[in-house]
Amino acid sequence: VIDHVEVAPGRGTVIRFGHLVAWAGPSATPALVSFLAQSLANLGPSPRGGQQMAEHLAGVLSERDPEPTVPFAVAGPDGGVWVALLHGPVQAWDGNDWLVPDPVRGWIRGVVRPGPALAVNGAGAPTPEVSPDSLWDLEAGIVPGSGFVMFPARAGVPSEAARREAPSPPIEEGRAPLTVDSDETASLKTDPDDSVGDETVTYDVFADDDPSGDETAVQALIRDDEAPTAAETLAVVTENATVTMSTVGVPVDAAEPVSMPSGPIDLRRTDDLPFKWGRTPLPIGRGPDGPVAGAPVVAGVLCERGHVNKPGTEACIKCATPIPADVAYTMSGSRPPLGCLVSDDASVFRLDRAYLVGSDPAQDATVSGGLAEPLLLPGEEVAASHAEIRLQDWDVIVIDRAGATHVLEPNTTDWVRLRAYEPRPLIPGAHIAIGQRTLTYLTPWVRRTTDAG
Amino acid sequence: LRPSVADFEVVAELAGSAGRPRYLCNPPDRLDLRGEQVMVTELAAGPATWSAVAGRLAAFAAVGSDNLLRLLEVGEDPDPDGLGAYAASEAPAGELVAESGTLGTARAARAVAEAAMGAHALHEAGVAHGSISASTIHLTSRGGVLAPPCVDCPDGLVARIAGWRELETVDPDLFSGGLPSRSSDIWSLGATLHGLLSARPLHPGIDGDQPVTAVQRLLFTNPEVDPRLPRVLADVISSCLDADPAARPTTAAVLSELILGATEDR
Repeated sequence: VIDHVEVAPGRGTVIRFGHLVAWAGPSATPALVSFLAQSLANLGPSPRGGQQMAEHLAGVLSERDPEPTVPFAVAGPDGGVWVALLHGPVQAWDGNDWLVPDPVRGWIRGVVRPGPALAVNGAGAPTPEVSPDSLWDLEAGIVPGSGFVMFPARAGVPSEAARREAPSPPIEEGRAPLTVDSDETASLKTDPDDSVGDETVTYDVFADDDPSGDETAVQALIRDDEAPTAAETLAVVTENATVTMSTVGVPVDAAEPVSMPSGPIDLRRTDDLPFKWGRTPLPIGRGPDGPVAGAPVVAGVLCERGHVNKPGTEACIKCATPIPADVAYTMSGSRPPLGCLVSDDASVFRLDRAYLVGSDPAQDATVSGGLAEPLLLPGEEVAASHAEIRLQDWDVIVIDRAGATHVLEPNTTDWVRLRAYEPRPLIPGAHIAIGQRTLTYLTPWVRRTTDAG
Repeated sequence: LRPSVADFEVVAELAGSAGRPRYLCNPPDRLDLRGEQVMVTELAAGPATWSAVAGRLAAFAAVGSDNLLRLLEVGEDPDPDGLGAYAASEAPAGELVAESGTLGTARAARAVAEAAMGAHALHEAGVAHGSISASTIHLTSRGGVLAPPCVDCPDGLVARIAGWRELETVDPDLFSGGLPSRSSDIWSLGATLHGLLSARPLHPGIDGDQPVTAVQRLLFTNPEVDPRLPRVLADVISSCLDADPAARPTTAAVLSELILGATEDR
């Protein structure tokens, strides 16, 4: 279930047993650390240990909270999803959303969707610096650390520990390739030896439109039988390895992740090229919004055509259909994009993801770890990793990382210098000064589209 | 002017696209093009992005439509002053559509209608273009063809605004964060046709040099089709620019027929 766990150096305690990981802040008493360690050791082997641990802790905390100001967090699986419980001044970032404790109750339990990792540390601290290619991995035990980043295993890919321990697989002579003769769907269960953790994974296999070469190219719909609510995922699979994964509802750009030969490449003979392409036509028209795997779930209102809108919106952003003010219901759905960032050089970036802004952001662990896209903004006084743009619920947040980020909000005249690592929600139309460069946050979620003009 | 890009001999510089220089070149003998000239576009692609850039171009080339720009080769550019890679394609038959400004109604409409068929071929292959404009529609010996989108742009980039004409070809839904789709490409085709037929912007007063206010205008104001355009063509353009994507022509092929029909009716 877990691929590997990296520990951020610093004060505090990181604990891992089996599928469960926990962090306790430096103010935690030995009794609390011992309690967490024992609980993790007991429940760590369970594929539902995350849910069991969260229930266990929630039960205790509902009765009494012996150390209300101490930060700690636990995370673990519940079948095909991940569950975390956070207590005190602690934060968790799953690549899409922040999870922070309820300020009144002092703790929170929730589902997280590591995309691709879950980072946990003290509230307000920068995201722990990690690299997906790092060899560091806490396999089990209790170690000092100011937080952790947990990378879940991907379906079909053995964990980091398993990869280290596994002998090189023998080459099977005459092994029959997996073939599908028609468009009909075939199902096969994975060999128990191939299963991931304790999960059972079923592959629904479709013939690929364009199989070529001696690879067995198929498209597979991977689903976890243990967790029917888990997001279904499309994958393009070659003989032995998952090449790429893309969420249902998003066009599969299978050409992208396949390694292309170094150039020059003759594009007049594409049959010889090693990319696979589903060639599924784009949908016609725009139906109701469906779930988008990987996108965070938010509360919203539906227009009569089924588009998810921000609560309070008076006309649908997508189809301009009026949404009555007295809509009596709200719903939960995949969050739509939140607008765009316009840079002073007239580049426009889509706000459907987190960004790390700077003069060399690609080198930062936040980017290499997959928690944010790089937004390159070279210029005077721009640090390599200058500021983070994060999406939280329906809000866009800016976090200074260089001590030199300013914000100018609409209808104000003074730039406000941000305190380092202090999240600040952006108001639509706000300008962000990154050194001598600027970004502006624009969003349609600010007024009715029918007001246009 | 660079003397060469890789082993392509530069003859002349063409108008760039998305900030990428483009050249008219003599190809090397190994391409066996018998004296034909080709267009070479510089691409920003290093070792980390090579596979993605080459793969996107290969995917575009594999669609194999007569209404798409014929791609010849993608390669790495050893010149340290270059952007890292290049794409070679067939050359335009004359001036680039984006530079012409004097195509005339019938020729401009036909070029956009033919490029719409190229867009349709892409859509049927599962790909949205995302940046159709006059700079990605070329006139070749086969007529109007659609060139690839920006294959080396960073993930998340919606557009690089180069003047109001380019800006107005972007469906406002993309500025809201939406992903390119059939309907957003249909907006782009309609706006491109309007830009080729009229000197007036769809959003009066829009200033491409003020990107923030320009994007705000696109987000919050409705486009106004030039009333001096032939009515049937204006109606087709208006349908492409409907705020409700469901009210636009259902496919780019349908739009192509509508444009050609509107031109014949005149």
